[in-house]
Amino acid sequence: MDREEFKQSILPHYRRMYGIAAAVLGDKEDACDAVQESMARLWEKRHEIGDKNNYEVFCLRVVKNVCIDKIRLRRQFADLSDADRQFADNDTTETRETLNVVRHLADTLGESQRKVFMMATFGECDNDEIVKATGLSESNVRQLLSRARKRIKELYQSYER
Amino acid sequence: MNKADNIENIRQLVERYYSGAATPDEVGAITDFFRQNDVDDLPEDLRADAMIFTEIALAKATAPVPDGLEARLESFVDTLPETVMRRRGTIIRLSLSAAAAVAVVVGIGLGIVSRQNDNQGGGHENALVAEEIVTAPADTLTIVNEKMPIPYEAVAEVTPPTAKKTTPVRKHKSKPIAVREFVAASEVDDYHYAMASDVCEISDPEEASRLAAQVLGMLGRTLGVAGEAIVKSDNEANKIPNAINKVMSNEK
Repeated sequence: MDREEFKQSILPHYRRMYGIAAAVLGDKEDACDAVQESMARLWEKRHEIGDKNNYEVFCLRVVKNVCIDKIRLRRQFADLSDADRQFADNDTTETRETLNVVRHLADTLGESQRKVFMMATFGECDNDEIVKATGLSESNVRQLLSRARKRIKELYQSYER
Repeated sequence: MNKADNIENIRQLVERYYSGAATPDEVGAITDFFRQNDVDDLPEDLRADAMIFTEIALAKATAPVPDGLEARLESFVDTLPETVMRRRGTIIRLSLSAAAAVAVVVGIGLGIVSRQNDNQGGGHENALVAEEIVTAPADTLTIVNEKMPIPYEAVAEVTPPTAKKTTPVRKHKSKPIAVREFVAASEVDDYHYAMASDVCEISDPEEASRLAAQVLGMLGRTLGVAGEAIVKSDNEANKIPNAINKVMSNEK
C-alpha cells in the first residue's frame, strides 16, 4: 500500500477513530494525539492490513490499543481523574448544546460508572479491554457497567416523560 | 427463526446488556435489530431500549471532531518514513546487545592479560571466572576492570575491588533487573523517542517482553560461547611455556 492509497483507504476512518479515542481517553487533545499515533502504527503495519473490508476493523482495533496504552501510562502517573474532570468541564462550556442525550445523561453518572460506560458504549471496548485499561477487576467492571446502563435507562425514561 | 423467537432472543441479549455481560458482538446484534425494526412494532418493554440504542448509534455517527484534525493527520502521514521502523528499532536493540557482548569479551580479555601479567600460572582461576560468566544470569553481570570505563549503572552498584585489584568479573549484589521492569522503562523511553523523531516504538508489552527476552537470551548465549572460547584460549596459552621449555631442553 503506497502513501496515496493509505490516505484514501485508511485516513477516512479517522472520525470513528477519534470518537473511540475521545470516549476512552476523555480528553480531546489526547484523543487527537491517539489518532495520530494510530496512523503511525497503521502506516507501519500497512502491509499486514490485508482485506479492504477489514480496514475499519483494523483501524478501530489499533486506536483502541493506543488508547488503552495511554490510559495505563496515565494511570501510572495517577492523573487520570484530573484529566477526566478537565474534559467534563470543557464539555460543559463548549459542546453542551450539541451533546447527544445519552452522552448528556452519562455525565450525571458517578465517576467510575461514567468512565466504564463511555469506554464500553462509545469506545467500543469489551470488558477485558476495560479491565486492562482501568486496572479494575472483571466483576467490578461488569457491575459498574450494569449499574450505569440501568441508571441511563431510568434517566432516559424520566427525561422522555 | 420466526419473529417471536427473534424478539425473545433480543430480550435475552438486552438482559445480558443490562447485566454488563454482553459482548460487543451481542451489543452489535441488538443495535442492528433495533435499527431494522420500527419502534412502534416492538413490544412495549423493548421500546425504551430501542430508543436508547438509536440515540447511541446517532451519537456515534455525529460525534463532533475537532476542526483541522483531518488536515493535521494528512500532513502527518506525509512525514511518515517509508521504511519499517519497527525493524530499525529491533536492529538498534540487537546492535546494542552485540556491542554489549563485544564489550564483555574485550573486558574479560583485558582482565586475563592483566591477571597473567600479575600472576603466572593462574590458569585455573580464569577457568573459574569463565565458569562464573557462563552460569551467571545475563542481566546480573557487570565488568569491573580498571582499564575500561565503568558503565553508569555499575558505578552506583559495584563496590570497589579490595582484595584483588584486577578481578575481571563480579556479580551485582543488588536485586537483578526484572525483564518486566526493563520493558516498562523502555516503553516510556520509546514513546518519547517516537514522538521526537518519528521512530515507532514497540508498545505492545507482550511483544516488548518477547524481544527483551530474545535479546537477553542472545546475550547469555554470546557470553556462554565467549566464556568457552576464553577457557580454551587460556588452556592453549598455558601450554606455551611448557612447549618453549621443551624446545629449549631439546636444543640443549
